[in-house]
Amino acid sequence: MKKIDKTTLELELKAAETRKGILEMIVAAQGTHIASSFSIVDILVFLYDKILKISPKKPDDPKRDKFVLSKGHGCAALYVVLANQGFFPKSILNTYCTPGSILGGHPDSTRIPGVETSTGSLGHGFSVAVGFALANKINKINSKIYCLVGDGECNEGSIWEAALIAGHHKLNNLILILDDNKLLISGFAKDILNPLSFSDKFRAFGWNTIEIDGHNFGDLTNSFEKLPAKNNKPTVIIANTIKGKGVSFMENKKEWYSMLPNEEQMEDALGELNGRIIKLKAEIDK
Amino acid sequence: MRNAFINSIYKVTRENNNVMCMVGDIGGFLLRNYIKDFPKNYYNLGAAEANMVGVAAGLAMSGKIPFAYTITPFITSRCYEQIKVDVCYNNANVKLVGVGSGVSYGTMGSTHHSLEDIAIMRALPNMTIIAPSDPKEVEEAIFAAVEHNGPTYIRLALQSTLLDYKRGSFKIGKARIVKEGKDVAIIATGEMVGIALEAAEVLKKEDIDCFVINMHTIKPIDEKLIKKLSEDCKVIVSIEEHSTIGGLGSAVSSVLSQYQKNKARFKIMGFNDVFCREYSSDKLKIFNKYGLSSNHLAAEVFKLYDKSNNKKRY
Repeated sequence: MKKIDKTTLELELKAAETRKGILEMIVAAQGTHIASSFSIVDILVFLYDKILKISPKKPDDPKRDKFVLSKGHGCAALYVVLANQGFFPKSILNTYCTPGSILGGHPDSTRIPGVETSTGSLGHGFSVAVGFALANKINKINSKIYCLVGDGECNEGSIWEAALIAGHHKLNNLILILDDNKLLISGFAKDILNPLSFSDKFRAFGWNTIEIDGHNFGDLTNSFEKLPAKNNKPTVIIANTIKGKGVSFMENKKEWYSMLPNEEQMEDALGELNGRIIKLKAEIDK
Repeated sequence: MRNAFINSIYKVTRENNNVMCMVGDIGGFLLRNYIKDFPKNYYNLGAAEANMVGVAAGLAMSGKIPFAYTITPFITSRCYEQIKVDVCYNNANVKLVGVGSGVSYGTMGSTHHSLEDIAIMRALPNMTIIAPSDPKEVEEAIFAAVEHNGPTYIRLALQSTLLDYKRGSFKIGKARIVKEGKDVAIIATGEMVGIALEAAEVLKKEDIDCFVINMHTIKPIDEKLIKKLSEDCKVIVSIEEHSTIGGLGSAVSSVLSQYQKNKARFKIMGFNDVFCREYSSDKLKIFNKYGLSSNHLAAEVFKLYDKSNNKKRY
């Protein structure tokens, strides 16, 4: 078996710790969307650790890269990652979804440092990200705009309005990441509204497409290393992911879209995540 | 008013290069000078208005002052959630401009009418609503909107001639007194200001001297003036090219009904919870069909004034 390098192990450790943080935060507040947050953890950890040129000390720097979480219901993952990056104190995570907190069940840009636009209703953030990318082109700012949408979110017509505009205006400073976990609220996408081929569709809309395993840091590194693309098209990274990734009994089960674990399940979930954290730490220390 | 917008956006962009004009595939010919002189400030985002509003929010949050312009229903009700979330919830500095408001597209039917836009826009926090009454006021509104930092909706109708009255400076939220009066006030917005002036002329012949108020800003509404009028007048009538539900009349009514010193009888005139199903290239004919002509307005004022005097005049 190929030896995994230390950087990858460290990213995997961060991802496991992030999942643990998400689970504890959501369960404490009796919130929701554990599984939707878990499917994007590796992508977010990778982006904020390795890709985004953004400083929590200057969150309003006009030259910063911007990240837009268009599938706002995955915000628990974003909150833990932003806190780890230092955009706000980690103690604020303990206030999640309680009166007076800046952190709600969907992100509010006017209150949370590091959140570029408020999202929650599907199919909105992508258009705003297109606006950010267009503004950078006009202002001759070279930074990049990254936007993450869900596969279920791509049911929304506005996604395809935005995709067409981005392709037409050659916004090669825009990178879309599609969290393709193939599971909607009520079942599998192929049974509810089959998206057919995302790659074919985005190519037809004038985009570069890359398909990867969204939980594999090697894949993530390789795909982002190819950016920016040599041509003048925007790029979509179609990340094949697993909803609920990281806690085996939550993986790929529609029930875990909104369910909360009971005490026993919580113990099992934490046990699995803690086990992984200990194992990864040991491997890093080797 | 459409030409006034075209000229105003040109002038304001010349002064402030952050201003942008985005259209949903209309106005290409009228905007040809704009496109020629400010090619980098102009974007035609196609007939994809929901996306246009989201993009405008992204541009605004990057320091631009985007005006998103198309036919009123398509920049209001069609993309209402984008306006709520991307513009108002983010408090993004986006200017929405609806052209051909009310029943201005008189031959085109209700798909192209907007008789609910003020109502839905009023309900959004952070939103400012301006309905100019003539071409000069369109220009004033556009320049004021650029100065004002926050979501703004500008509702354009058809009025192409200048209303003749002495006007002070334009201030968002401060109504204009077009004509001073006594005992009676007509509060109008948009194109109905002209109709109100005509009605006032009719009423003058009946010895009724009425105020004509140009309520160009519907949100925030000029509470101070409404309260003052309600103390001084026996009758207040509001008139708008909009549903009687949720528009100017509702905004005025909300002030009056919560003001203890109000002593005026009040009537809301507008489209009475109906779709406009009449067709005409002459909007006045449509107003006439729906009881919104200057004569209808004068008659309504007259009736109410009579009642308030508690005597029969004839």
